[in-house]
Amino acid sequence: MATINGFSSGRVLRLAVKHYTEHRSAYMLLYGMMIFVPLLFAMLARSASVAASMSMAVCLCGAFVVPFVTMKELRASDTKIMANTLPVSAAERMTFVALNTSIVYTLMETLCAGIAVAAAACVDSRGELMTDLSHLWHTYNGHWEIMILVWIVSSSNVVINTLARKRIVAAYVCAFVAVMLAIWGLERMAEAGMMIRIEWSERLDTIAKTIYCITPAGLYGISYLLLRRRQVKW
Amino acid sequence: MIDIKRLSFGYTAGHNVLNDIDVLLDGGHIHGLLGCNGIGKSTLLKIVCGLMRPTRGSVTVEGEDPARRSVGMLRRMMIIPEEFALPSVSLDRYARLTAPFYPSFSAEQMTYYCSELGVDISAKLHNMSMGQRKKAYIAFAMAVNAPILLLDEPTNGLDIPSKSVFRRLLAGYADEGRCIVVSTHQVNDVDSLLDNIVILDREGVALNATTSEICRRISFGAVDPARAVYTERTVLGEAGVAANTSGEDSRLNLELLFNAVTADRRAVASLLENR
Repeated sequence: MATINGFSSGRVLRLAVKHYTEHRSAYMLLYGMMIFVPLLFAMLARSASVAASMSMAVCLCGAFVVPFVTMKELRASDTKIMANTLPVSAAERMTFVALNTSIVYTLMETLCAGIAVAAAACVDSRGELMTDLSHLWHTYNGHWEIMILVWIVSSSNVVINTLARKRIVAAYVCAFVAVMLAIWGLERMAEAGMMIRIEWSERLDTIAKTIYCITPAGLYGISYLLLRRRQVKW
Repeated sequence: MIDIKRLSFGYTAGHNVLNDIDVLLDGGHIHGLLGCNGIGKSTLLKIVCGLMRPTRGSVTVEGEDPARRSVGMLRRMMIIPEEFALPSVSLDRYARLTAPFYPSFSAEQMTYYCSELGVDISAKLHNMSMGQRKKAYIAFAMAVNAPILLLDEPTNGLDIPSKSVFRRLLAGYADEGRCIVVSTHQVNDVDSLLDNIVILDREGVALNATTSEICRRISFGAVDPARAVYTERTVLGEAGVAANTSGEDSRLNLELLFNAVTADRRAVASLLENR
C-alpha cells in the first residue's frame, strides 16, 4: 500500500477493517433499521413509493448516527486512551472518518433503500417496482443536491463529534441553537433591509452549487484540523 | 528514554495537578510511579503517550515530542489504562485486527502470556470479567513488544495468583532496551519488581531514586525512634524509616517509604543525600 509523507493507505484500510469488525452490531442495527423502517411504512400504506420517500428521511437520521458511531471510540472515556494511542496519524484517521460518513454511508443507504423498495413492491397493489426503483434512483442521483445535503449533515456531525469532549447531547443542542439563531438573525437582517437583493442568474446558480459541493470537503477539513488538536486533549 | 523537564499541567487555568516535574526515565528499568490518589500519575502517563500537552515544561520520548503523535513513536509505545472497554470479539480476533499496526507483535508470545495468565484466547472479550479482561489486554500489550510500556494500576482487579504471575511475566519482559513505567498506589503488589522509585506529591517529584540506593541508605522496620525520620504504629508494633548504618542493604518496605515521603519529603531526601 502507498505511503506518502507518513500517510499510508494500508493503515486506513486496516483501520476500516478493525472499525467495521468491532462495531459490526451497531452497523447491522443501523442498516437493518434503514431497510425495516421504510418497509414498515410501505406495508402500512400498501405502497412501495412510500418506502422510497421514507428512505430519504431515514437517510438524514442515519447521517447523525454514522458519525457518532465512527467517532465514539475516540471520545468515550473507556476507549479513548486505546483508540487515540493506536499508531494511526490524524490524516489517516480523518480519511477513514470522511470516507465512512460520506461515500460508504450513502452507498450503503442507497442499497438499503433499494432493498426496502424492492421488498415493498411485493405488497404494493399496483406492483410498479421499476417505477419506484427509478424514483429512488432519481431521488439520490438525479437530484444530486440531496446526496450533497446528506454529506453536509454527515460532515457537520463529524465536526460536532470532534468538538464535543464528553457531553455530545449538549454539543448537539448548542449546534441546533446556533443554527436557529443564525436563521433568526438572517431573517431579522432581511426584514431590516440590511441584506442586498441579488437577481438570480445562471452564474450565481453555478457559484451557489459550487459552494454547496465544497461545503462537505471544507467541513471535513475543519474536522481534520480539530482532530489534530483534539487528540492531544480528549 | 522519557525525559520530563519542569513539567506542569492543570485541567483548569490556575489549578495545576502536576507541578515542576523533573525526571528522566531510562531504558532497562522498571520505574514505579507512586503517589496519592489524584496527584496526577495517570495524567502524567497520558502526557507521556501524547494524549495531553503540558501547560509548561517539556516531555520527550526518545528525543521526540509525544504531542506530535507520530506513527513511529506510537508504535514504540503501549499503554495499559486503569479502566477500559474492549470490543465484543475474541482476544484472538482482536489481536488479528490490532496487531498489524504494531510490526513487532508476536502471536506466539501472546499465546504464552495467555496460558500463563489463564486467559481463554477464543473467549469473547466483552463477556469477560474485569480481571479477565485486564489479563487479556496485558497479554496483548506485552506481546506487542513495545520498547516503552506504560501501566496504569495494572494489578487492579487481578486475583492473588494472577498478581504473582503478572509480576513474573513483567520481570521477564524487562530488558536493557525497554522502559517500563508502573503507576500504582497498591505498592505491595509491585514492590519486588521495581528498580527505580518515583514518588509524586503536590510540589512535584518528592523522591526519585533507585531501589538499590534506597536500600543502601535507608533502613525500614523496627528502628530507633530517636534516629527515625518517620514512625508509624503497625499491628506488629512501631515501625519507622531511618538512615541505614548497618553497612548492609536493608529490605525495602515501599509502603513505609511512601508514607515517610508523603509525611516529610525533605527528611527522606536528606537520608539519601547523606553519605
